[in-house]
Amino acid sequence: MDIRVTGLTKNFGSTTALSDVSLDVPEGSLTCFLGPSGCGKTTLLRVIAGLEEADAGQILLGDADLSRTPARDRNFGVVFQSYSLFPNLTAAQNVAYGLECRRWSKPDTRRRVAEMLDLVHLDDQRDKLPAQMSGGQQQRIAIARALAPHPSLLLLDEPLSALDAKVREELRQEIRAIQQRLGITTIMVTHDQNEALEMADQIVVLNGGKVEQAGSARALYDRPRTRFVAEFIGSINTFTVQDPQTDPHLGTVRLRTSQPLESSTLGVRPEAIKVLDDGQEADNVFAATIEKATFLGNMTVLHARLEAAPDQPVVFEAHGPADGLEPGRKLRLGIAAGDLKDLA
Amino acid sequence: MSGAARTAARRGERRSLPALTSDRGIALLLSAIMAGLMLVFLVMPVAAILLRSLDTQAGPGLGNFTATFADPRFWDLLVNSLTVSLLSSTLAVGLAYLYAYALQRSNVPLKPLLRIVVMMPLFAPSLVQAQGLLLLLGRNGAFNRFLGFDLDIYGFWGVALANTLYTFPYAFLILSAALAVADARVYESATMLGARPGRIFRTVTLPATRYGIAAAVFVTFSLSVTDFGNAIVIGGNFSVLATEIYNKVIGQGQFALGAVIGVVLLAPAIVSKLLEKRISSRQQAQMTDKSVPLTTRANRMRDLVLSGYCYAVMIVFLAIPGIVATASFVKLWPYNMAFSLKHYAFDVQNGTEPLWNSVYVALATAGLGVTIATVSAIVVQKFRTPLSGPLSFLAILPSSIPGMVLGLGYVLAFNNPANPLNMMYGTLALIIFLYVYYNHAQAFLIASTSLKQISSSFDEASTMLGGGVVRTFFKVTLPLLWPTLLGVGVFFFMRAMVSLSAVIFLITPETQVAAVSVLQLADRGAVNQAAAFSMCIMAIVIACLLIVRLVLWLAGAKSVTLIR
Amino acid sequence: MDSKLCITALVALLLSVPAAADEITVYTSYEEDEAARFLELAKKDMPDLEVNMLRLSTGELAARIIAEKANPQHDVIWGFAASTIVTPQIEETLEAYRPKGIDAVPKEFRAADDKWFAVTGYMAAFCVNDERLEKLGLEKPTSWKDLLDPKYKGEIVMPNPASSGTGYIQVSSLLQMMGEDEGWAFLEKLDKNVAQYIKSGSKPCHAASAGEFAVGASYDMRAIKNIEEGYPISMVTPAEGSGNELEANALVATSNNKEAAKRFLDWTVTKTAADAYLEWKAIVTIPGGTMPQRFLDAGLPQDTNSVLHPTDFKAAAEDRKDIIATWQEKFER
Repeated sequence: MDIRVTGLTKNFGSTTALSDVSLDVPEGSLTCFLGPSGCGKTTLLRVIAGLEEADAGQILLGDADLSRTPARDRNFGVVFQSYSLFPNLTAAQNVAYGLECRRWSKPDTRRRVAEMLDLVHLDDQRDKLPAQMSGGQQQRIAIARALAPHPSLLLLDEPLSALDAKVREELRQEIRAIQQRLGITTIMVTHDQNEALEMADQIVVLNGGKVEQAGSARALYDRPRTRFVAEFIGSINTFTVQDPQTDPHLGTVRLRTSQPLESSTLGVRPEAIKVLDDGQEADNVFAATIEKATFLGNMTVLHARLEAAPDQPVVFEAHGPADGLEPGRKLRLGIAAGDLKDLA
Repeated sequence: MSGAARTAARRGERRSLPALTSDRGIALLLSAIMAGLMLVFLVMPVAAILLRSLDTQAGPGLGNFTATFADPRFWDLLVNSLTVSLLSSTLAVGLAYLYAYALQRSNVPLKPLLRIVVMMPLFAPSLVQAQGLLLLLGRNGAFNRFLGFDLDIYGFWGVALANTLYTFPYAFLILSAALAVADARVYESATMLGARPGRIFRTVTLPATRYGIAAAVFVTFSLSVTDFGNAIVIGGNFSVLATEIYNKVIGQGQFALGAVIGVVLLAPAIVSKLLEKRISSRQQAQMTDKSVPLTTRANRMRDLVLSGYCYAVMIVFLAIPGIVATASFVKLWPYNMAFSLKHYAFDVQNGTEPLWNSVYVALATAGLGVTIATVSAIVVQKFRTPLSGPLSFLAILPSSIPGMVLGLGYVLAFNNPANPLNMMYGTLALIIFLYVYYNHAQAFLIASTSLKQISSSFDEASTMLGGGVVRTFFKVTLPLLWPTLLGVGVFFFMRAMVSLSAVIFLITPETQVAAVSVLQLADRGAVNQAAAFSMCIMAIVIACLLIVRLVLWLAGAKSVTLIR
Repeated sequence: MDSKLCITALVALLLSVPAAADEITVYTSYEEDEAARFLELAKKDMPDLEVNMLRLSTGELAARIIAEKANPQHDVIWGFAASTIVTPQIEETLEAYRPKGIDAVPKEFRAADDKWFAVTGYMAAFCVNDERLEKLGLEKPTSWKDLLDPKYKGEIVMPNPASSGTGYIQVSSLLQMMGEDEGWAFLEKLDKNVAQYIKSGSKPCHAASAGEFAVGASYDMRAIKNIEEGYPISMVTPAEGSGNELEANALVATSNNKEAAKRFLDWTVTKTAADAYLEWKAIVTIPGGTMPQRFLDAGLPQDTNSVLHPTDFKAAAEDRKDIIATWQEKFER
């Protein structure tokens, strides 16, 4: 069933953690809440979980309003950052915990625990206490424990951020694989854009307690609606445009855009900026001077100054060592009309 | 030797100073002094008990044990001791757990007040509880006399209840600390998995605090089993091992019996010491700095119920000292309730001298105790000498030796003409050393913890700048540590003012202390005067707490714990 | 509290020098308040003599003296039950001494070998709480026999003879007047009504005074003092005759400071001391005094002999060990 959140507002004292948040989580999808710390993503997850109570708004699972249902009765699974296993129970006992709460029969419990441990490839660790397992193993057990009672929604609160890079990479793929195999609707909170881009069907970017934009990774990258989203997902050059609605121009250069502009902030992804050969044309062409070139192996990051607008530096990339693009070199840069993104 | 220490040592050689003024020399010297003191005031007394228990008229052997164990009265008393202590320990830990839970995990109003009121039993000798209970619930106590009840509190239940009240604060302090730490995520995981509050309590809260519970049970049990003050006042014909020791050893000098019972009482201490090792190693896994602290959620029903409980407990803990104070201030309890100060005249043996003896002993204990505990901690933590290992074991050994047993050991060891330190017997100095070493473990642990927290980087920096060990201590460590040490001093002071069972054996006419006076007055039936004496002890302890709190407040060190 | 006193005490403590030349340790079984008053007077007469006192009940002090025999801590035994001081293990530790003025004490109150002498004594008495009796609708008991009435069940407290000298004279006088068999049988019947056996001889009276129990078997002076305090009690000397005891003083042979110890013993037979005894004791062996009116008001006759059981002190002393052993076996719980 879809999860629908409408008009959620949550204040902690005088600070607003969530302000009129609405969003949909389609059934079977993995949705990431992405944003910097303090953006309200964890609070939103906790409100959905029922661990915090919203001041206003609704949480609907299908047609059922869960806003007044206590957390323990929502039948959601949750995995926290780390150390959330019961330290006094073995791996198997941890996994069985939710089943015991639901008064499953002993044989059913045993079967389900085995199935879950198998799912996370830890059947050999069943009798270990959490303190005897690695961080990655603990998180797998936490996932198995959350999934065991057949939750209608799986909530992951930065489940990978306490792990080291290699384990994090492995678990990312594993979580995604399990999620897709079981087809379970999942919400994951993360501050790591790569994690969100790699795993999510839908990304909800939060900032200051508000939803900035929601959509697929591709949609957010290609069509960021705000400067915040554009900068948070990938990197982007931003320019201030004069007279955007009537006669948009950047410095002395007139701009050609695919759609009429609304705001005065324009974004261009570094990879959309092309170095033009002599005679080659583009929708928008700028004369520029290279200021700095940083060689990074597979690419070179180039900083340049546009003649049309010397106060607005631009960053772009060239594949490989980019011979000849040393500082002081003058060149022409081209940007297609469709790559100019109108940012609110 | 650490690199820094090596540097320091080399510098010492270069200046060609005598060995003892170099850091290494100081370290060795201090270690040796600390080890020597522990040998004399800790190992020797315990050894004396063991030796005395094996010393029979027919030469070394188990004769004393077989004689004691053959006496059916011993087994009766043992059963009495065990049952009454188990009951009071269970009650104290159960009640204190709920009380600590309410204070740590709910929104009960007036928490600071609730916390301080249940500490009252720590400010007076144990038997004040029994005194108060008698005045309240005795055959002619306030309940029976003024409210028309018909209670008879003498005996088993009286002792159990008095010991429950007496040991409650000890259990509360331990359990409060155990309940203070909790990782919210574990609780939230349980909630999300569908657990109701009852199951969460059973599967999360209780297992997380089970070591605290075990420690509290051990401490309260050990206090109850060795307390004779309450049993003497309220026990009537109900006797326990502790009263037997008091009557037969102090009264009649049957030291062989005392030594045997002392060894019997050491057994649980040894068991607990072994358990403690396991407990402390497992406890570490419980909390990490990555944990999310649990915050208390609003729940009016829970708060209402727990408030009711807490205020009921608070009333009991106020009623006991309250009625003792009343009895001390009226002309003739319970017949003439006119205000009178005549019970404060203390026209008894030695008058108020025991009170001033106690103040002197308590101040000296605080001073000496803080010094010894701090130096021991430094020797163990900072100096790596061959003695560090044995010292760290000995330093925490007293925590499992009942005060009564240690006191008995002191008599056996020091009231012995063959002991070169025999001259210390019958002096306040010996009592001071007893208090210092009886309370050494806790003070040592506090000092060690504080030292670990503050000084490693500082004294490395100071050493690199050319400061020696001593200079570093006075210039860096001490200025940072003094509020904690003052707190340790208060701890020593309080214990020295109120401890009864540890010193009872060492009391001679010249070295009477206040807690023993209360016991003797109560033992003779001078109820009002005993009450007045208790009030004086409480007043001094509370005054000390207030003064130190004020000093700390003026110095800006507000977070120091004074009551432990 | 007197703050000047406190400061003096503190300063004295801090400055206290090791044992003054004339310092003695005295073991006593006198009541705290009696002992305190006597010592006060003694200090007035001998300001240079420092007296350290340990006060313990009779049984406890006996055990203590025996236990410390190898290394005695005391110089003088003072006001200690005569029936106990003659225990061989204690008598051995004593040294014969005839204090100056000892002739004031009649011969029958002195040891033939001068190892001890008794200047005071005490007798058994019941403290009966009138208020409690009235509340329970009981009559005032006048004799030991009255106490056998089941109406008094749970309302009687008695001292433990093993630790309390008062307790011992109560038991031994009953055995002496009734004979062994009948005596023990009587005590067994009495035991059914006794709520508690208490270590101290004065506590039963305090317990009755506090209204915790109706009858506290205790001794004369405690009853008189508690009546004076204003407690609603009266003193009853048992009609069968009151068991009584002499309080003996003696010099300890191992004393390191015998001159000072002797000075103290001399003082105990002075006129000052004798006058003080009269104020505090119903039995004073030094003749010539008169009993204060307040003792008479409390119910003592002018001639105490009329209520005393004629005690055989020698037998009481000789039988002590056996009687206590039997008693403990039968009644100690």
